[in-house]
Amino acid sequence: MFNRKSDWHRVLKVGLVLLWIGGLGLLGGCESLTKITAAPAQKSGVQVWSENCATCHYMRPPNAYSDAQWDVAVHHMRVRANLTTEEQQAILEYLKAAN
Amino acid sequence: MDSRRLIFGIVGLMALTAVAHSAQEKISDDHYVSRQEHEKLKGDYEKLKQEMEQLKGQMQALLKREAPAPAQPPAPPSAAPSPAPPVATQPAIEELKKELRTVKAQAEATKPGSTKFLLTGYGAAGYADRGRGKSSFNAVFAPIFLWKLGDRVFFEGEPLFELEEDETKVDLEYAHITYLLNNYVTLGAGKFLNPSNYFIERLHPAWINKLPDIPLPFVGETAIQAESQLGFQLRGGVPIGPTRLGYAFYVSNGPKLRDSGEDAGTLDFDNFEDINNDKAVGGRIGFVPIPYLELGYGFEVAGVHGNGLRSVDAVTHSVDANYVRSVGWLRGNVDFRAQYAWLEIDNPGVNQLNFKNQRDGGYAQIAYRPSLAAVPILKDLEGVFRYDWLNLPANAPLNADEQRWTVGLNYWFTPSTALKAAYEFDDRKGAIDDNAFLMQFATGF
Repeated sequence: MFNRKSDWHRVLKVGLVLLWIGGLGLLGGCESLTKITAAPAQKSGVQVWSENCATCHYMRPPNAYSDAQWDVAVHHMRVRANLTTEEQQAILEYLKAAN
Repeated sequence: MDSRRLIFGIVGLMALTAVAHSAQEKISDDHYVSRQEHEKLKGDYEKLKQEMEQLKGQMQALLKREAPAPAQPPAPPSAAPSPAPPVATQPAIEELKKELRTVKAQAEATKPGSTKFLLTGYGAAGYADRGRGKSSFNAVFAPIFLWKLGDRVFFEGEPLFELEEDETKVDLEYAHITYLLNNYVTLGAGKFLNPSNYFIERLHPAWINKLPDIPLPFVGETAIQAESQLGFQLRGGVPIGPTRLGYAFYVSNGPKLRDSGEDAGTLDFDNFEDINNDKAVGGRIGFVPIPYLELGYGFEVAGVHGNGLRSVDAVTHSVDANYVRSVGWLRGNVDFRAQYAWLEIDNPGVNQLNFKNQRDGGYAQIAYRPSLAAVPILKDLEGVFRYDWLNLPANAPLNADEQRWTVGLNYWFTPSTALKAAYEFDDRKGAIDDNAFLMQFATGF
């Protein structure tokens, strides 16, 4: 099994392409372009926190930092994870409320 | 000591540590407080206590003045429930609570170094026993300095301390200043982690990376994509209905082409004093069609040349897919990653580089942690499997294609501290395989 390198590569490449097509299909399946460019659905702070932070790493508990420290840490992660101001604020409000 | 015994010994030690830890209570994530901070908080508490006593006295005096003279003796305590506090005390209690919150916020804000500055980062200690080399322990320390200089201006810097041969090597991983132009656009300048390389930008820190080492395409002299860029970048995110798009585009010094020696034809990404006026342009777009799934495409176009050679184009592409979420029916967390990158460099027309200079590589990794399991010790264990590979040009001096299968087992003490053990099965074309046993104890702070 380990010697059939080209097969492994083919499976991975096809898999990645399929994921892309699937993702674009989900985008195309939206009801209308107007709806696509509409304002984002309001998500709770804990939802935004979970959907964005957990994409890369396990999440530290809200009491890991003080409110002031979270302010700095979340700004750092906003830049790294390409978050919007609304998403940054939602995460911060959740962390401060739960702290 | 025989290396096999050492490996068994370390694995045994890891198992004992995991068992011992699971038998104890979870380590508290609370911070330690210095003596000075303790004294200050104690002073604040005493002051608050005095104010409360004064308020209580004033309240009682006020109530005495307002209350009518008692007409009958008080009822025995068990006869009726205690009366509700007089209406006049409610505003006072609210006022007191407000004051308490203000004092607490002031105490937090005056902690040294926490108002606009945060020291964070990670450190790791490890052990590697590779088939082609001697076994050795290793350590790395990467503090990250964060300054919030205002609502829009931010600075982040990370020096990386590593032990290499007989010296401590220091690298500047990044020194990056950013300015928020608006809700969706951030301007950055300096040295920053390569946005077109998802693994390096998001997943490489030891406390995040699920395995003790880095996939083949992103490390060493044959790396396909750079770890960092020196230049400017524009980045941000845009929600599009229920989906979202993240983007980052940069212009940077770009790499230079190695034109001699055994690594001729590879790219040197440490081009800090640019050797020409050609710059690299690149970026990445990440699309999130559904929560927890991100699909990305990255690219870089650079004019590169070696000493005295004409400039040629080097074009890199990469695609990545990432899916991470807790799955109820699997009673745990599933973490899937894949990234594939390919690079083509034009021929500058000299003998030592007279070959088709194309290389590609990637990795696919899946990790599973039964975080919803009923048995406590299982919740903190995580199994990992990774396949990574690198294909090099057939006629290049460095041309041994390589592929690896790595299995790993991690034990998570906290969300940012893990003990990792892994075994790597290596397969090199035309060269001796380099199987390895790896261990790492990593923490993010």
